[in-house]
Amino acid sequence: MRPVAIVGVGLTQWGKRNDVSLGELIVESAMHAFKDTKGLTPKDIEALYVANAQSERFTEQAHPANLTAEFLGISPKITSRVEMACASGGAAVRNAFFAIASGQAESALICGVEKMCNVPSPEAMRNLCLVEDLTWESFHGMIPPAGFALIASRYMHEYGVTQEQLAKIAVKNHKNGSKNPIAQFRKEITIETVLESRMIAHPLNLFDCSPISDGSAAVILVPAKDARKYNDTPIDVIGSGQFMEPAFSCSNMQSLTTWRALVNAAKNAYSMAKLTPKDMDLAETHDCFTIAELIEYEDLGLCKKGEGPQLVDNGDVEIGGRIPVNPSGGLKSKGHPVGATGVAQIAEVTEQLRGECGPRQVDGATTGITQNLSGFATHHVVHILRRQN
Amino acid sequence: MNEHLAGLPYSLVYPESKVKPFWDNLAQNKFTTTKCPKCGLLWPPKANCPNCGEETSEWIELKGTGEIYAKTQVGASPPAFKAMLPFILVVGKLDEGILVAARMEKANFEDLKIGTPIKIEIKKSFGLDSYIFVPA
Repeated sequence: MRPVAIVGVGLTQWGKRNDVSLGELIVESAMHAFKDTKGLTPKDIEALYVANAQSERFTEQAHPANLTAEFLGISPKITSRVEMACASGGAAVRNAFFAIASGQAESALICGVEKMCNVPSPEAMRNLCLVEDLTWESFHGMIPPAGFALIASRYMHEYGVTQEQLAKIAVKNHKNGSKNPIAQFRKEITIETVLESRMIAHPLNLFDCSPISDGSAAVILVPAKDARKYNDTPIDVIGSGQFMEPAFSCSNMQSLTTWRALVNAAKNAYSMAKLTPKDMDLAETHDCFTIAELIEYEDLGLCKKGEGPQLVDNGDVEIGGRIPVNPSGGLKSKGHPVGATGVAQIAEVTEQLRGECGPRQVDGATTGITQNLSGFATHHVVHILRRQN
Repeated sequence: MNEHLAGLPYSLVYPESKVKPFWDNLAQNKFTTTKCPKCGLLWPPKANCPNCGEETSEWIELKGTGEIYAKTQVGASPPAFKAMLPFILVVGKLDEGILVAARMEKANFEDLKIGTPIKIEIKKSFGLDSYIFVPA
């Protein structure tokens, strides 16, 4: 295994994008990523990974990796679409990492994309319900927010958290997203906005939930030894971890409130990086619902079990706090085009570690962590990035 | 899609499965699951034990009683569930120790707590043999 570095990242505008096709959306983020490098072009790419969850359902288009190759005019020798539902992006980055680390490719492009706003929102919700076990969960009305609401009810019972404390997470992420030019929602909200929004699955209201979005994100990886040729501030990928519980239904998880898959994915990533949670300067985590971000603080080791609500109350997770979480605005405010999310997390931490984030910059950040999940938190991918010395 | 699936929320829920006896037993008013000879009860029922791979031929009738392990009230849904909104969804911990997710009826959400006694009631859903929870 040889060290791997990030030399280019690119994002499209996120939100409703009825001005572009699926392929055009991919090209937008990819071309931003190439322009972010010193002189790399699509023709230089040896490995291509396209992270996409449900292009067949949302746009009727299958085989998006091949579509990408045509739109970019490239002939990669290693390629795959990566489908891991909401964690497709993180999983694709991990695959590309191994393609470079193994020495089989000298450059890798990861494009994450989802175009979800083509269909009416009830149909979008039905599509997302296909991610759960159809027979034993979806058939009983288990929508994705309900699974996380069940988790929230257990957390409230075992450790205690109020709806106000959960709302503060959404308020923080909207505040951060208001400073992110590509974010879907750039409006600040208040605790009342969250508490007074309509109930989706008690105790989660509309503003506890991430939206349906169109968007794309791209990242380019090369061997770390070559990185300075392509970028003046390379960012090394120093840790990569992934773990899946042998559970598809949320009722088969070992625990609803301590996510075994996240604890293990994080352990593997920290161990590869030879770092601890205390070494992290910021985190981009999978806040599909506010309760998810809360549990992620704990299972990433940013605080002890049960102390997540204190982290929120103390402002520790704000930009300027002890460990800023989701300075991009997170899924909540930036948006959640499913396949793009995990790739965009890598892009945000990269830009943060380069010091390019303007009003949402975490000052002096050199090391950051990303966490991307799928299912009812049964599968997680964690990456640790550090600015190259 | 088969004719008899029209109106169902999803197209693949009908038991084209080795665990079809689960639904046949429901039709006989029995709530059952498979048992691995080595590892014990499985939920959802499976033809092979996920722990050891052993084939499971034995069907065990469950008492159907237990308590609420996790709960929510759902206020938004795909179109098929619209008429039911808002509905209660719980994970019930059955006396045999397994966790089962299902809708709950005949209860006010505000009255429910983690630990509230509940029981399975066999009831058709979308015209198919199914089950819900009700207060015990």
